[in-house]
Amino acid sequence: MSQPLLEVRDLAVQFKTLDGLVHAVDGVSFTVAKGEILGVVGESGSGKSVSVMSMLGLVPQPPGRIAGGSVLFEGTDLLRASKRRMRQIRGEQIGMIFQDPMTALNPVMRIGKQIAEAIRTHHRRTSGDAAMARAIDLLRLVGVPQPEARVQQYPHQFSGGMRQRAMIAMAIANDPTLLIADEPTTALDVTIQAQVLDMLRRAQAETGAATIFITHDLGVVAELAERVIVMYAGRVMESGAVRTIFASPRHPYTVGLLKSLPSLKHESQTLTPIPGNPPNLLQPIPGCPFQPRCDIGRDREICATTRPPLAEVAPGHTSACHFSDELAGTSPATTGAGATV
Amino acid sequence: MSLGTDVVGPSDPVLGEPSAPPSDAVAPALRRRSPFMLGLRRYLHNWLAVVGAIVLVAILFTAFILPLFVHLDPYAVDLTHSRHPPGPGHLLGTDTTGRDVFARVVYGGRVSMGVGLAAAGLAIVLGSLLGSIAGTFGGWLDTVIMRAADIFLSFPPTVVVIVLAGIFGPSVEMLIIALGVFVWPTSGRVVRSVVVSMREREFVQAARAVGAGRGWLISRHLLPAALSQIVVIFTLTVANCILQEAALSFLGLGVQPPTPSWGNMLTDAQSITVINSMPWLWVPPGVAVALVVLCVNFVGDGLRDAVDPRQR
Repeated sequence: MSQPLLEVRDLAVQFKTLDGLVHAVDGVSFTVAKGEILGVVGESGSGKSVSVMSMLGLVPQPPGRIAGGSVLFEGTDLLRASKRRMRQIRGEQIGMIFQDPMTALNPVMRIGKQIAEAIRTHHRRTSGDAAMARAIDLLRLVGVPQPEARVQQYPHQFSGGMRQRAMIAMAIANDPTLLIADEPTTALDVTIQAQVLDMLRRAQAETGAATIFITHDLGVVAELAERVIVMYAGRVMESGAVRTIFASPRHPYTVGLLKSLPSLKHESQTLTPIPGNPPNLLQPIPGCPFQPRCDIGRDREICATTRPPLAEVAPGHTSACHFSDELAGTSPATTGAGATV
Repeated sequence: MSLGTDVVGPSDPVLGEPSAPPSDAVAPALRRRSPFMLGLRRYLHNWLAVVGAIVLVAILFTAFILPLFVHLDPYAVDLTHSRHPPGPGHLLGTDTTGRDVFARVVYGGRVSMGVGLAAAGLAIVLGSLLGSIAGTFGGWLDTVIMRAADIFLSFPPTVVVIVLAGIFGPSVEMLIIALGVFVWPTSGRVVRSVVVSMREREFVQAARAVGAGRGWLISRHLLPAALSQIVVIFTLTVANCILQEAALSFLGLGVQPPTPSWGNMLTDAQSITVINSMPWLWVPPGVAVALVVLCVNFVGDGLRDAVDPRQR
């Protein structure tokens, strides 16, 4: 395999709070190849957003602190790059799509101007007219009707789906090589979600940008991503090709997630929730963070005391479980779509 | 689902988009909704603010435009016609040295309002600059700037001007700088608080995510958000500065005679006989100050309601 576009190694991000140090991201490693779509799933607070925000230097410090690790993007360590270099990378090489398009667009600035600004930030010599023309093209590309009139409007005159399209237009304005979408469909209606996902896939195909797709919607991951990493309590639990993960998960947390999905095949089956709650990240967790909720590890000494390494269980498939072997061969009887974590 | 114009087409009921009006039909609808026009409409609903604006424009016209067409000499001394009551030839009478009071009120208005505008302008520029820097950067820079603001606020400006006048000698420039430097914290604090409340908003994060630097954020996102408040504070600061000028000139520490200003014209009213028997010497400048300050405050209130209807 050629050099990955992005290589995250042992990333750790902490937040200083009044109650103590929160280990929001605790040793996360993954790679993104050129042009691939990587899904990142996990429940709220599992560190999905914080990992990517810290990659872009968008975690406010303080209270946040990047405690360790490295993020290599096309040979540059983003965690140690100069501010000037980071400004250059943000937007030009890495585009970001935010969760809520209402709050991520300036309510008192016309849509066209906001997209044009995103272009002009990086190309100061571009005239306002040229940037505006490009903004119109971009809006047309993402399927906003009558872009010539729409650029003159304010965000409140856009529907949610249209706003998210404008956000996508802004993110791909400078042809980035990496696109980060942070739960881009969470704030949208289900019908609009499908359209925006389709749009995102088209934008991705158009620009050839690798995409990190953060979501807690396993259905979306199944539909969109090629590879997926499963996060829990600020750590990567399992990673691999989407098909593999869904068909033969090798981590009890992933198994639990898939069991809690409704299935279209087995109608009256009751869902199996994962018992218990996610751990409190204020305390350092010596062992596996999922151990107290895990059927396999609950009574095992090693799970509570020793942190399981993210080990390869099959080519391209890794799992952070001491007993991933015990899950080999089993497959949860579900491939439900549209369910959320 | 295939995506493209067929999905988001003009007659798509799912998205609830307006059904295909030609783009030239959309434009007037947009213009009607522009925030400026909305604000103007709200402003015009406030009759006090409208009257204030009209009177203010009339006074500004009299002070700055009228002398270009009508010959008025505020310095012409005529000792044979000293302390004449109002009448033909001298619309508002003459003062102790026989100078025309109307001419002096008009030219005094230039000085007083000029000082007020310039000092307020200086204060607003300083306040916006320092306030947005403090708010955007935070940390020790914020602490230094805002504690400096506290220090400036804890000095009575009158006392400072008295000291400065003693050191440098009183002059119009000194007055403008002293007033400007001592009233900037008011606008600085407001700008900072707006910037701080905006800084963590997601669209500012989004702007950073597309690569905006701090200067860019300030000029495109943060200061514009504070602009409406800045305008309002500016008007109120103008009123405040005009009052300060009047008070200082009255004490003989501001604008120096023979240059007329409303404040130093009031100095004449210090004697009981003048107050009792020669009201034309002190009523016109006094009324002028009161009227201008009142009107500016009405305009400021009107603007505040116009730019932010929630603040009522």
